[in-house]
Amino acid sequence: MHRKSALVAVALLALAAWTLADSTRYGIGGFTAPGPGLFPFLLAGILCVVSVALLIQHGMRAGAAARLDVTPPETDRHGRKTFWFVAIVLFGYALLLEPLGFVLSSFVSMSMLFKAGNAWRWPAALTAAAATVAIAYGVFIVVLNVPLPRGHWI
Amino acid sequence: MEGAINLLAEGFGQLLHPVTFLHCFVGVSIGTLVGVLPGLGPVATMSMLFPLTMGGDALNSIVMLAGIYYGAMYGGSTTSILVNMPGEAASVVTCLDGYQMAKQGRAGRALGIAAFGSFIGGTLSVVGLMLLATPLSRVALNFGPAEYFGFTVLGLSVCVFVGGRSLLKGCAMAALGLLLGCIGTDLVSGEVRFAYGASMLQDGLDIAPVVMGLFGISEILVNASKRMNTSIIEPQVRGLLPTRDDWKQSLPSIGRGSIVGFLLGLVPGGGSILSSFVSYSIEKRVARDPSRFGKGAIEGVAGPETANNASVASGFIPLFTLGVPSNVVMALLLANLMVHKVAPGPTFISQNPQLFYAIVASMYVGNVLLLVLNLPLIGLWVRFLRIPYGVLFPIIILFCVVGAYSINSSFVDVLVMAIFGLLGVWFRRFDYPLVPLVFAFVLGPTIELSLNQLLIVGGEDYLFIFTRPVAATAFVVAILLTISGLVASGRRFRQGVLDSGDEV
Repeated sequence: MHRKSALVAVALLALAAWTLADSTRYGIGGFTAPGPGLFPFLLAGILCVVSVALLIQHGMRAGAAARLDVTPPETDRHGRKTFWFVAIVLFGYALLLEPLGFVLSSFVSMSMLFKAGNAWRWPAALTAAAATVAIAYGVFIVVLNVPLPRGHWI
Repeated sequence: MEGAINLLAEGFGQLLHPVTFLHCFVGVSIGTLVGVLPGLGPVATMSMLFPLTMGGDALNSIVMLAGIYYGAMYGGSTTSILVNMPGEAASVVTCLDGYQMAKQGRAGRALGIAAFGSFIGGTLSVVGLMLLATPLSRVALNFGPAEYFGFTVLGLSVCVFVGGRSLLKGCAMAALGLLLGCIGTDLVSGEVRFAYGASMLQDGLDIAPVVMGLFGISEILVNASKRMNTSIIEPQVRGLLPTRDDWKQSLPSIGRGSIVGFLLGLVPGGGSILSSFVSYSIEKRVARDPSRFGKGAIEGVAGPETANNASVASGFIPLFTLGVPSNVVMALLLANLMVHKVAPGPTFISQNPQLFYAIVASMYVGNVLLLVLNLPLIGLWVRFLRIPYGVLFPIIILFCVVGAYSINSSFVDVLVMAIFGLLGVWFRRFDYPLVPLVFAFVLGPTIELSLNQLLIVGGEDYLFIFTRPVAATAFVVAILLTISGLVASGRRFRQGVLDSGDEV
C-alpha cells in the first residue's frame, strides 16, 4: 500500500520535472517581464518540492510500518474485476461512439454494464439496455436535439 | 432601494416565463434526486448537464445549475436520516442525529425540520445576497490585479487547508490543477503551451469532462465495484410537521445555522460542507447537555441542514462581485457564465441587473418549490432509494458520455472524462483530495493573469502587493494559513503519526 501510494508522488515528481524542463521552451522571462513559461515553471518547482516531501514522508512511514509489521488489508477480488470491467467498457464506449454511432455503441455498452452490475441473465440485460437507449434517443436526439454521432448503420 | 424592488419584481416576471420556470423546476428536482441518491453529488451532476445548457441562454442555464446545487442540499438530508448514508458530502453530519431520530420513530420530524431549516436558511441567505451584492460590487470596482491575486491565492489556500487530511497532498493537487490550467493558449502572450500539436488542447482542457471524470466516473467506478446494501427506515408522512417543542428546540439552531452558513459561504474555499460541520460543532458546544448529540438531538439536524443551505446563496456573492468563485460549484457556474459571454465581476450587477435579479428570484422560488418537493412528496424520493445501484450506474454513465460528447461533438472529450475518472480513483485511493485540483484548475488562468499583471505593474518593486492593504491582508492570511498548517502537520508527524497511520 505504501509503495503504491508512493507511486503517485513519483508520478507527480516526474510530471513536475518534465514541466520544469518544458516550460523553459516557452521563455521564462523575468519577474519584471514574465514570459509564458514563468508561471508553469514556478508551479513545477513547487510540485517538485512537494512531491519530494511526500516521498520522504512515505519512506519514513514505510520504515515505521515495517518495524510495526503492518500488513495491508485484503482487497476484494470480485470488486476489482467489476471495476476493471466497467473501466474497459467505458473506454470502449468512448472509442466506438463515432464508428458505431450513438445507438449501437450505447446498446452494446449498456448491455454489458447492466449484466456486470446485476445478477441478471442476458435477455434481461439486453431488454434494459434497449429500453435505456430508446429513452435516451428520444430525450437527447428527438427532444433536446443534442448532436450525437449517427454511425454507419443507425 | 425602490429600483432594486422593481428589478426584483421584473426578475420574478422573467422567472414566471414557462421555459425559465421549467428550468428552475427541473434543476431543483434533479438536485433533490442526486442529493437523495448516494454516490452522485451536485458537482458531478452539474458538470454532466453543463454541456446541455450551453445552447440555451445564460439565465436558464444558471437557474437550472444553481437549482441542482441547492436542491442537492435539501435532498442530501433524506438519505442521511433514513439510510444513515449521506446523499452528498454536506449531509454527513446529519447522519449522526438524523438517523438516530429515525430509529426512535421520529424520522418524519427529522425530515420536516431539515426541510424547514433549509428553507429558512436558504431564504435568509438570498435576502443577504440581494442586500450585500450591489454595495460590495461598488467596493470591488477599486480592486486591481494585486487584490485578485490575493483573493484567489487565499481561496486556494483555504481550500487546501480544509480539503483533506494531508496538507502536502492538498498542495500537490492544487499545483497539479494549476498546471492543468496552463494547458492551451497563454492569455498574455497568446502562445500555445503544452498542447504538443493536439488541436483539441489549443484552447485548454474543458472543465466539464475533467470534473465529470474526477467526481462522477470515479465515484461510479468505486461504487460499482462494491455491493451497496441499503436498509431504509420508512417515514410517516403524517408526522412530517415538527411539534411546538421541536420548533422551540430548533429555532435558535436554525438562526445560528443561517448566520454560520451565510458567513462561511462568503469565505473562499468555504461552502456547504464546512458550514454544516462548523454548525454542528457550535450546536454541540452551546447545548446545555452535549451528551444528547449523536443520540437523536433535533438541533444536530436543524443547525447543519440550515447552514448548508444558507451557504449556497452567499457563495454567489464573491462570484458576482469579484468574479472569484468561493468553491468548486461556483467555479462551475463561473465557467458556465463565461460560456454564455457573461463575465462575473464588479460590473456584473450594473451591466446585467435583469439577469442578477432573475437569478435571485429563482432562488426564492426554488426554495419554495423544494419545500413542496421535500415534504409532501418525500415518499417519491424514498422510492428512488430502492433502485439498485447496478441499474443506476449504467444510466449515469450514458448521461456522462452524452454530456461529454456534446461539448465539442468529439469522442476525445469522452476519453478525457474516462482518463480523469481513472485518475480520480487513483487519487482517492491514496487520499489525494480532488477538490483543490478542480478549484485550482478553474482559478489557474485568473491567478496567472493577475500575477503577470502584478509583476508588470510592480516593476522592480517586488513587494508591490504589500502596498495594497486588502491584497496584502489576503496574501498574508494565505501564507500564515499554509505555514500554520505545515507546522501543525510537522508536529503531528513528530508526535507519533507513524503509529496511528494519520496523514500530514
